[in-house]
Amino acid sequence: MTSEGLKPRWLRLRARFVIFVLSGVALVATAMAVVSHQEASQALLDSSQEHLLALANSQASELARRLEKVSAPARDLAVTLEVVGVASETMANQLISQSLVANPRVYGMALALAPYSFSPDQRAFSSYAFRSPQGLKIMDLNSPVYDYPSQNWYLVPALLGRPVWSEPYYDEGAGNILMTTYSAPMVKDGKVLGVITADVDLGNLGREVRSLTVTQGGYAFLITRQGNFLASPKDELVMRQSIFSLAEELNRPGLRQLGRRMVRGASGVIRLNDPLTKKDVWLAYAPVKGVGWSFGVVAPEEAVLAPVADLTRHQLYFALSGLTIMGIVVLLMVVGLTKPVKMLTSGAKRLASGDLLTRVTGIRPGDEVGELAHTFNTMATDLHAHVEELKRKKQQLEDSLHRIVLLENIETTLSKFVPASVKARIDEAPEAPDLNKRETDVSVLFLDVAGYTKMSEQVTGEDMNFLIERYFSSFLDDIYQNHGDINETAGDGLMIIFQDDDPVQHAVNAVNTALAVGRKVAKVNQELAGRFQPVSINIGVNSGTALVGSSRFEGLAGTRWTFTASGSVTNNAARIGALATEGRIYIGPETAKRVGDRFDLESIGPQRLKNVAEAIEVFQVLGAKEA
Amino acid sequence: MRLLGKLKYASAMLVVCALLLAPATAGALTKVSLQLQWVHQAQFAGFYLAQDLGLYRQAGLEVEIRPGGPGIDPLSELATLRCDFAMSWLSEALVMRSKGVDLVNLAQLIQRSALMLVVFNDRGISQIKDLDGRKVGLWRRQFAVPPRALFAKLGIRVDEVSQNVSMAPFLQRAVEAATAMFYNEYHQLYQAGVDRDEITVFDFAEHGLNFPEDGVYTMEDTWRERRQVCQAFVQASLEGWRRAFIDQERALASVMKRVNEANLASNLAHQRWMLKSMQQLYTHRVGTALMGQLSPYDLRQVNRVLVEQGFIPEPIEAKDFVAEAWRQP
Repeated sequence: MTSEGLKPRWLRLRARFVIFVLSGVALVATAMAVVSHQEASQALLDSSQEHLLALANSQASELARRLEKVSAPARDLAVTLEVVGVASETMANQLISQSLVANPRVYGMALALAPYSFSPDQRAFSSYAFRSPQGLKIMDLNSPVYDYPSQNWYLVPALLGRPVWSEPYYDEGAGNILMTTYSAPMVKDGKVLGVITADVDLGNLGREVRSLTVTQGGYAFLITRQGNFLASPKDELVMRQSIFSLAEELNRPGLRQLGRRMVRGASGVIRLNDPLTKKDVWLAYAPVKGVGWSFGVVAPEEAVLAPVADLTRHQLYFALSGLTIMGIVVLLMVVGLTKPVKMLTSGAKRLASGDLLTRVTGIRPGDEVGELAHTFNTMATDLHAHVEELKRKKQQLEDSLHRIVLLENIETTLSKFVPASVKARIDEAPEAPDLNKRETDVSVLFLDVAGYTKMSEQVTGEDMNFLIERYFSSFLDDIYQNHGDINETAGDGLMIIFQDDDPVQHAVNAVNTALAVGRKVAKVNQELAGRFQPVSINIGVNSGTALVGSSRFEGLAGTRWTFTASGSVTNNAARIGALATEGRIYIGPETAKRVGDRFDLESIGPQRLKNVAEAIEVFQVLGAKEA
Repeated sequence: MRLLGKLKYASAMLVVCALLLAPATAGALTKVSLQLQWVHQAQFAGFYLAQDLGLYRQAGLEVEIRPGGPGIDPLSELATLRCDFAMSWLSEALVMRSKGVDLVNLAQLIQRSALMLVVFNDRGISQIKDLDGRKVGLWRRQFAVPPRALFAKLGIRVDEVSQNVSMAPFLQRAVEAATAMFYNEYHQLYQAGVDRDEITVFDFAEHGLNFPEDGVYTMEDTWRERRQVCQAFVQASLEGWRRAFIDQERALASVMKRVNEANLASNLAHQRWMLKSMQQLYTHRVGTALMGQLSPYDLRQVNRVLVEQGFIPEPIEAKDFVAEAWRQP
């Protein structure tokens, strides 16, 4: 039944509850997880980056320290020679080879004097000691194809008057390896006397840089202040490429910007696509202090993000198990909630099917559902009480109806006893019948069961009533047929009033009635013969004007209305009746005058009647005249 | 149709075979050598491509391309007949000629001077005059001619520092200004992390000193005696250059092959820049059709400056000096 045309829900409460609550919880949990994951991963990423930067810084420092071991001897020798000067070639050779032997990190050392500074006749003076594959070798750098004063390792520090680390170069004609050279000028009185150099074998440097501890899958590299690679995972980059030429070749302006930051001695961490490995990597860079180079550490993003990935896995695991537990809890809660609802539902169904004694039990009180159950039970109880009350009322109603039927029956029966004239008057105006007495021309008939007193001594009261009813009932119809109104019953007698517009007619009716009663009595006597003594009914009739209407008698028990005809006509009728014996019918003179031509009458002479001054003539009715 | 197609194909193959085999089988390949001014780089891309595409071979030549380098003077090599052809700047060739080496210009390749002076913007040098008294890196020999001429014209004296092949002294601020070639050092600075807007360039060509640079030279005797060989060589070389400008990646492959073989410290991006620059310098004013032409105006101009600077006593006449081997017969 879909009341109000509402669409029915397609999910039960339980499913709905679980889905709603779980999705709500999942949503909140996810949001929280996302936020916390982002924060945590950012924190981890930050720390990873910091770690990478710290690594770059520490290794750059380590590199600076190692390079210091290369530069220090050259600088020391330069300072020494600034003071003592170079006396001879032997001395120069001795000094640099001693220094070279004492410093294993140095590949080669040179002493190169400014042109013509050793002697005005000699343009060049130099001594170079280096570790050749055949052992320590000492040579003069000067040759037609190796004009050292124009070599950068000489030229730049000589021009600047301060020590300089050279760009990588292949020292053809001297060291014959790929190297970078530290050159310390000997300056005296603002004049450059020459330079002392110390070479670093870039092959060794590359191996050293590669051997530095780097994150799994990552690598380290070293660039000069011009962006040239001194050490890189790809050897072919050294000398060939700078970070800037790579940026140009790959058309990556971002890489150029990075290079510019690096060569300016900045440090930092950035994420980029590695031009060498084509992978997304994190790069930390730090300056190699005192040298002007920049050291870079590259770590693959997956390595940097590994802790983040771990965290993600953990968080996912916790989120899932949390959600599962939450699901179970919600399910239990929902079951706890819906079970009483179901019980209530089935209770309500039982109630609806008429089981008013049903009660919902087993729901713990104290919460809303408990209250609902309590209310339900109270309602059932009330309902039961109401229904019982209703039943009682119904019974009462039925009883009343029964009584009404009885009453109707009584009314039907009794209506026979209501005088026809009253009925007529009531019919005229049922709401307010005019029952006041009026002077009306009537015939009054008195009927008396003869020997009633004697009879009542001989038979039981019960039988007596039976007899009375039997006889009276037998002639009631005759009375009505003749439009007579039974006015009074008094034990063994009846007073009947006959009215009609025709004064003759009601007199005729009265006499006909008397005759009929006589015949009925005879008939009943015959029927009851043997069982009871025969009964005789004596009848007196008189006609004339009487006051007809209701008389009211106020009594203690209430008001009693009687409908009667009063006056001398009535009194005389009663007295005439009293004259009759042995079932005779006597009528007064007025009646006789009206019916004389219809009935056979016989005068019994004037009779003295009680309380009547004059004697009046009384007639006996013998029967109807033959037509 | 089919038969005809096959015949065409067959005949085409025959022609190809004949072309390939004829000189070799004939054994008539003339061996010649070219001395470059410098180590292998895109400055000579057209020669490499002519060789790699077999253009020399088709011209009946077997060309040996000799890289230069520090200590190698191409014109000295030529003068001592250690090579048949040599690359040189016009100014240097004129000086040599005036010294009595009877060399001739077979073709003038670079029409516009690529020589320039570079200064860092943060050194307070906004015009060449500001270099007065400052350390300026200058290359030796003819490279120093235009700067000296310009300084003389402006009446300034600079502290000349002998500049070597690298820009390190300039980058380390050991000199205030340095000489640079547009196609080489200027771009090296960029590859050393110097942005274009960090430096100012003084272009000699724009200061009335357009010294045509790379040209092909041979001895007057060679030109007289082996004219066809000279013409074949120059024209095949120019064809190599034309092809190089059309298919630059192919030319760069030829360049990088030699760069890598010689284990030189260079990279593709730099060579690409150099080749593009070469195209500008070679086709300046003359386009590709007249590549090789020596402008009489430029010759007069260089002569004049060289005389003024005392490098030569008197101008070298074009009729003795210019042998237009580049012109199609």
